[in-house]
Amino acid sequence: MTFDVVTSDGAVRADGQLAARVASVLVVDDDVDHRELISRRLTSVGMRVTPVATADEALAALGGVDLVLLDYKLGGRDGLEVLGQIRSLPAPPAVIMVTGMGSEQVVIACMRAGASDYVVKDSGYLRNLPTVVERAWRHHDLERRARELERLALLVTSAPDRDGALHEIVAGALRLLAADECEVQLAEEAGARAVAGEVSLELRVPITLPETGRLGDLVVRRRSGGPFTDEETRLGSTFASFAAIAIAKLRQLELERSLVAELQHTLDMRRQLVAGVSHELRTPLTAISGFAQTILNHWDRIAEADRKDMIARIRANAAELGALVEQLLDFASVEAGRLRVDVGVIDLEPEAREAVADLAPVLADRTIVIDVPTGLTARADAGILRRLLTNLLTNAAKYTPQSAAIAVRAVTVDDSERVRMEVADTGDGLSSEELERVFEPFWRAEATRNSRRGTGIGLALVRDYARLMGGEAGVDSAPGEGATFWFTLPR
Amino acid sequence: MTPVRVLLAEDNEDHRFLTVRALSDLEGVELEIETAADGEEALDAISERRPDLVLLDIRMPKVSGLEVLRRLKADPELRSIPTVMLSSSDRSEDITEAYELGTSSYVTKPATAAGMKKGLRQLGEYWGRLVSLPSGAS
Repeated sequence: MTFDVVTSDGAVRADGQLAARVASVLVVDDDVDHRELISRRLTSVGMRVTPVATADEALAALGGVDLVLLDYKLGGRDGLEVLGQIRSLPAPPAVIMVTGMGSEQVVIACMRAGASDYVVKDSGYLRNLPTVVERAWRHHDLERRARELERLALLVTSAPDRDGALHEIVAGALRLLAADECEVQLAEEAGARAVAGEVSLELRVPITLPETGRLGDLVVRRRSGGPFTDEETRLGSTFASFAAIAIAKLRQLELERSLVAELQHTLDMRRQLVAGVSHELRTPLTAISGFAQTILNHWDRIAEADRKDMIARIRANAAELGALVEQLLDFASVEAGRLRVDVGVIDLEPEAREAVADLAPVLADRTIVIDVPTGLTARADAGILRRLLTNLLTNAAKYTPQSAAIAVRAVTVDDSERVRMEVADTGDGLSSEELERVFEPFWRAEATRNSRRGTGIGLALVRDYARLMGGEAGVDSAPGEGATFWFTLPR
Repeated sequence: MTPVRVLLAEDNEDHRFLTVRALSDLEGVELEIETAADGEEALDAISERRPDLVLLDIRMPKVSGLEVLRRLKADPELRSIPTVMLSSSDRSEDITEAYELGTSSYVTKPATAAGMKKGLRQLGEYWGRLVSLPSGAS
C-alpha cells in the first residue's frame, strides 16, 4: 500500500514553478516613461508584467505577484510606508525599491524594512534590471523555502499521528520542488501505486534511520520542466530526513502509548481481581457465619441431624475458602515465577476418581464418566495435577446445567510420549472469541460476566499449571456443542 | 388464613437455605416460600404467579438481581410488587443502585430473623397490610 499520494492541482503547480523562475512582476511608478521602459525590458526576457501608477492601485494588484518594483516617490507618498504595507501581508512578494539619483540614503531604511534589493535610476539601470530582479527573487524564494522548511520541521516534531505528518511533508515537497506528484513509499507497506499519466522525471530519495536503516523512499515526480537540480535533490533529502524523523518520533509515541495501555490493563486486571476475589471470599464466609449464628441462636430447637448437617455445610464452605486462598497463592506464585513443581510418576485413573469424588458437592447431579486406562501414568506434581483437574471440573460444573454430563478422559499422544487428559462437558460451548480468551486471567464468559461470579483466574492457572509441568493446555469447542478442555503431560 | 406468597431468588444453595430459615423464623406471619436459583427462573416465576413479595440476591448467574429488579420496575403489571434485595456485601454502590432502581428494601446476608424483620418493616404500610389481612395472623 502506498499512501499520501498528493497530485498537485493547477494552483499548487503554478506556485511550485515559481520556485525556479520569477514569473509575475508588478511595476509601480508614477512616471509613465519609466513605467513603460521597465515593463518593456522585463517583458523582453519573458516575465509577465503588470504596470500601475499609484500606491493604491499597487496594493489592489498584489494577488499572484512574485515581485514588486516599487518607486520610492509615488505622487508624494512615502515609499517606506507602502513597503511596510506590502511586507505586512501574510505571504508578501519580494520588493525591490527604485529610487532616483542622489537619494541613496533612503535605501538603507528600505532594506531594513524588508526590501530585497534596490535599483538607482541611473543611465544604464535598465540593462541590468532583469538580473537584479532574478537575484532578488532567488533571495526572496530562498527565504521563503527556509521558512517553509522551518515550519515543516516544527510540524513534524509535534504531529500527533504518522499519516498527518507525512501528508504535510508530501505537500511541502510538492510546493518547494515544483513537482506534480509526491509520495512516501514505506518498505513495510510494499507495492507502489501505478502512476497515472506519463511521468518524465523522477527524484527518489531514501528515507533512512541510523538504527533501522532504510525505511522506504520519498518519490517526487514532474511531468514537464527540467530535470531536478542539485539544489532540489538536496531539498529532497531534507524532506526525506523529515519523513525519517516523523516516523521515528511517531514510533516512539506508539511505543509509549502501548506501554501506557499495558499498564492500564494491568491496573484494570488488579481491580477485577480484587472485586472478583472479595465476592468469591465473601460467599462462603457468609454461609459459614450464617450457619454458625443459626446453630448458636437455636441450639435447642434444632434437631441433632440438622445441626450435624449445618456443621457439615460449615466445613464444606471452609474447604471452599481454603481452596480459593490456595488458588490465589498459586496465582501470585506463578506471576512471580516462584511456584515450585515436584514431579513424580502419577497413576492417572485413581487420580481422576479422587478428584471427582472430592468435588461431589460441586458436581451435584451431573453424570460423570471417567474414561482413563488403568495403569496409565504421567509425570506430574501430584498437588498441582489435582488442582488442575479440580479447576477444570469446577469450570465444567459452573457452565453446565445440573443435568449435564461431564467426561474425564485420558489418552496417549505423540507416539505415546505424552498423555492428553480431557474434561469434556455438554454445555453451551464457546464462541470463537471466547475460545481465544478463555485462558486470559480475569476474563469471563459473557453469560457470567454480569453476575461477576468467579475470580477469573481458574483457567488461567490451568494453562500455567500444565506448562509448569512440561505440558500445554487448550480447549476445543463450538457454540452449542459443549467444550473439551485438555492438557498434556510428559510420561 | 391466607399465607403471604414469597419468591426468593438466590443461586447459592447455602445462602438460600439460610434465608428460607430466617423467613420461617419470623413470628406472626405465615409465608409460602418459592425459590429460584437464578434471575431467569425468578422472572418466569414472578410473571406466572405474581407473588406478594420478591427477595432477590443482587449477584446471580444469567440475569443478576439488579437486572430482575430493573425489568420488574419496567413492567407496569409487576412494578407494584415490593422487593427486598439480598447481598453479602455492604457495598454502598450496590445498595445505592438497588434503591435507584426502585427496590423497597435491602437485607444484608447472612439473613437472620431479626435482620429480615427489620428489612421487611421497611416495606411500611404494605407489609402491615400483608400480615394483618383479615384472615392472617396478627
